[in-house]
Amino acid sequence: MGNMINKEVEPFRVSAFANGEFREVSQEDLKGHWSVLFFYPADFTFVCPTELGDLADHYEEFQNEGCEIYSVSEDTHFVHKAWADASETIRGIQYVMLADPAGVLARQFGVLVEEEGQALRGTFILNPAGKVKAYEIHDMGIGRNAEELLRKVQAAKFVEKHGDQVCPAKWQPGEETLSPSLDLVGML
Amino acid sequence: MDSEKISAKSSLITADLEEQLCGVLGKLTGEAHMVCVVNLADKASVEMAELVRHIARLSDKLTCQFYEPKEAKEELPEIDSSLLPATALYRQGQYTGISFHGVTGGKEMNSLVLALYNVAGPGQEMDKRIRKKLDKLERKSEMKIFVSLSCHHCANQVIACQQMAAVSKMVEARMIDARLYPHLAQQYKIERIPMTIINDDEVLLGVKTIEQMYDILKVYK
Repeated sequence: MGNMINKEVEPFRVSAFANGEFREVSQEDLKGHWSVLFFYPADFTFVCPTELGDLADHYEEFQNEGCEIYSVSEDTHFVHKAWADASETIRGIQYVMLADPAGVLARQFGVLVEEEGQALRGTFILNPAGKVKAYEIHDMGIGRNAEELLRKVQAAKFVEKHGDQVCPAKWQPGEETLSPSLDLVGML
Repeated sequence: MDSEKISAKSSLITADLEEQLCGVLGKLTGEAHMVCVVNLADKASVEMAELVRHIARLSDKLTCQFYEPKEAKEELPEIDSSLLPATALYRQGQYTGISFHGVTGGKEMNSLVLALYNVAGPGQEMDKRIRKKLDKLERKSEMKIFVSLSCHHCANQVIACQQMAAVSKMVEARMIDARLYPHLAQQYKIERIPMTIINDDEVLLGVKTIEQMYDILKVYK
């Protein structure tokens, strides 16, 4: 699969588990606000609850940015519920947990490992038009950081609003002065 | 101050860059004077002082002078000597409203060279219609442009603001390297650059055209 930037989410309809209830979610639900699709390999694994819990801890901040979180695994919505029943961390999750047992979403975003029926740890930030503006895909065991994800959402929103005519001011005290470079083509 | 201590050979200017600089500075038609306020116990001040002295010796149209902060506070109140190194450009003895706080390394070398080109002449072209508009500004405005030396967008914003200052007495444009003054970065909540703060009131992010900036400046009366 090639570059995913600016790919628009294709039509889908999947079951989901959110706040103790089952519901259906389609591509239309992802539009009109910023969204994060947060793929993980499977329920009842170890790294996943820490990642999902980290995300749950920052959920309010994502909401303050007008961004909705959708976690996705290849389990059914019934398994999501069973996991929530069994785990305090998962029970505390307020965002929507999508169920993708047929691999529709994981295949669409290129993160499905077909022979294992599990998704790689892929994170996709979609703008309100449902287009991918940033993404990362980790191998199974490599966890992600919700704070870093929040920073990326903020950066994506910023660029959408202000264009790409700005740079992040990530200077460090004590850095050496940069060697000068002169590029005045067309300016004199 | 004892400016003899300041070397006229800046380690930031390579032989290639010197050749490029000579090419641009050779086009100058008038004169410009660089005034540099420095504390020679500070590394950035020494770097900027040497850079200014080196550039000045590349053209007979350029001169430079160095001050200690205490001297500058008394003799040159128009320069903010609290942010060192501070370098201001003068034309015929008058402050042009163009100044640099920090070392003009990285992309900001473009800003300094074009500022000299605009002050000494011939200067960059400017649409006559915009030039007339700038002549109508009623109140003096100050623009602080916070930059990072590695940001090419920043240099474009500094160049545009300082081009306005070069033609209008009502505009002051100060480049500020945010890295060197973390208290200001904190005060103005600078997380992205270029950030331009007009009259400590209006905040602009990114690169704006001269016309866009004029539309903001004209409101101040």
